[in-house]
Amino acid sequence: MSKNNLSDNPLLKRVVTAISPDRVELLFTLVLVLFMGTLLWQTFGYEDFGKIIPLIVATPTFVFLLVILAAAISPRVNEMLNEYQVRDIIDVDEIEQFTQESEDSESDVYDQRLEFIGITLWIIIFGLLFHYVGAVESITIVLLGYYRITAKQNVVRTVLYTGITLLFIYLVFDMVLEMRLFTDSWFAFLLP
Amino acid sequence: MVEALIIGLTQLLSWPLILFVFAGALLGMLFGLLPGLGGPVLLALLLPVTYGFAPESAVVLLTASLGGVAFGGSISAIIINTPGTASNAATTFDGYPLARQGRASEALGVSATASALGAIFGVLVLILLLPVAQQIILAFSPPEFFWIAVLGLAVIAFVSGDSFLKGLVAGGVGLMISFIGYSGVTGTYRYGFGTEFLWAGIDLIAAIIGLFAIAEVIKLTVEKSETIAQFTGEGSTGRGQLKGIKHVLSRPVLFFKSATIGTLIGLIPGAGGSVANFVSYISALQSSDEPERFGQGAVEGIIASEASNDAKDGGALLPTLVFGIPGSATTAVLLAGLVVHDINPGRQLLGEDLSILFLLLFALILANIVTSGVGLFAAPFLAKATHVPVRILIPLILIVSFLGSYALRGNVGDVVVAVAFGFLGYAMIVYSYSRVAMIIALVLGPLLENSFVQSLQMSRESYWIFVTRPISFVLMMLVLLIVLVPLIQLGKQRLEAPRVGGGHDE
Repeated sequence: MSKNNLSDNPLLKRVVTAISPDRVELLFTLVLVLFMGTLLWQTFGYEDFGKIIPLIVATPTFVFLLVILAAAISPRVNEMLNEYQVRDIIDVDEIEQFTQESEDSESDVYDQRLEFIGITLWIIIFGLLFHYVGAVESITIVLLGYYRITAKQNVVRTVLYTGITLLFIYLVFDMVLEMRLFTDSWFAFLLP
Repeated sequence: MVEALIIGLTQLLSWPLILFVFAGALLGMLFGLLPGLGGPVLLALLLPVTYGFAPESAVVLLTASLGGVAFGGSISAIIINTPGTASNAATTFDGYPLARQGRASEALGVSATASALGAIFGVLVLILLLPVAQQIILAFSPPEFFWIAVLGLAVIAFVSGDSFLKGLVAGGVGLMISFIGYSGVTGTYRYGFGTEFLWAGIDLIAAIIGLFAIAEVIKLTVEKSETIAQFTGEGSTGRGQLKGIKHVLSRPVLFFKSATIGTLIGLIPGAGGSVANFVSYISALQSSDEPERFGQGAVEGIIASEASNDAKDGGALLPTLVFGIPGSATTAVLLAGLVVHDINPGRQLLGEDLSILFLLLFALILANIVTSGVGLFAAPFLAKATHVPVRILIPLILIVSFLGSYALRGNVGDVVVAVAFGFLGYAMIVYSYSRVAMIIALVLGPLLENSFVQSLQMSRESYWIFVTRPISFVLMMLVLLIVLVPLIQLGKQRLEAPRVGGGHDE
């Protein structure tokens, strides 16, 4: 199935856009609240000097996060919160560039999320290969795969870009930094 | 001091350092030109490259890159109405209209001249302040450092984002992350969740690579940008550079006023160029006899924005080099680069390493002259780099980011940290949390806590030590001023708002 056919799949579209952008923001705020709450909870267990500053920092940060969370849930709180903006402090409203805002349509959101999922997959694949297969091998696979599949380059360009990048990495990281990334790699036989 | 100055200058003109100035300046210009990349990304990517370098070479390469970014950002601001960095945003207001009028070269001439002269002005002010700085630093001890850290954090909260509250949260989260790991001063291992990896804390460079480079990769992908330049302008690039130079030279008052604003704002830790160029632009607009020309292609607008933007680098280096408090994300990465090469800000840099300090300052000046010179003649061609397809650049930025984080300690854990911060950084862009606030908090966190605890240890746990020492008291008042003035302004605006609204109704 081609990428276009896949992206036109109504089921996929429903799954990908199941959560509205507002809900995603709410989720992100919730993650931050949980993260800060965990750190705050742990802080109480430390010795005096080890907890003074973290308590001073974490307590208001946690409260501010709760306010932001409330704003994400309640439009009224959000309205109040938006009054406190930098543009109110520095008077720049007359300059057109500061007043431009845009709203994303549903199809924009769907496209953006597909792109986000795509790049996330590439990053995860790269990370896993980097850890389990090796640095040079993972770079080779990712470059070949990305240029051929995502960037839709022809075979010659894909190999050319990959080769130039590997040469650059060899010169900088192996020759200059002496990190010896290539020593036990697929390309070890090419080394002088 | 004179001897150190001569040594620094001689070193800079020696081989291969002079090559690093040109290489760094051109790289800086290229990264400044590419919107979204900018100084922090370039320095974060260059940092691992310099691991094997001699300290002098590393300093020159990093500083020259920093010097090149500021002007580079103005090229895309003028030609394609897209500022290369946030610090060049105000340049678009008049630079792009000039380009639309077929006067792009003239605008580039103005920008190049104002940038180079602004940078020289900022560094000269810094050199003049150095002898005083040396005296000041001796008067500073943990209580004063505590307030300086608070000052840096207080300023960040107000200037680094659209939402005041989210700016504070970004700073707070950054501070808490900076406390992760074992603290030698407090003698506690915190927030490690039972892992050995977090014993040494979160690596700052991995965090920076994630927050800037990887986050930009995600952003560019999601935006489906064909090229980094989102808009292809039709600005002509004829032969107006000389006219541009004359514009700056014939407006010395405006130039000095703008450069002074830039230097002063640069001096305040955390304020940075994104504020300097707006404040300077608004000041130029308010003092102009023809304010209606602003936004239509007034060369004064470009002079104000670019002179302050480049002058702020000199100012921002003072707190960075003297107190170890970075004035911006870029100087935060530069500071990390210096520390990696065992060049420590403060007493060491102002004492035994004074020649390196001058080397750094001269490299900054020369890099600005190089970029402005190159920019005058090659800017139209360089702008084409913004048309390299993003799909070609993305894997390259990812690879350099991964290798850069891995090269820190040869630990895949740092790559995981960079990736995690990459996603965090992207979410911060989308939901308007300031990444700069987080980076500065990550840098200032240990200083804040260590100086706080050391002060209490000095005073046998008396909190009066923070207010009874003269410099501490002044710094505390400054913090209060910075926090209270905008709040009072806001309160006044809210009180006046109903009256204005009533007037309209009538």
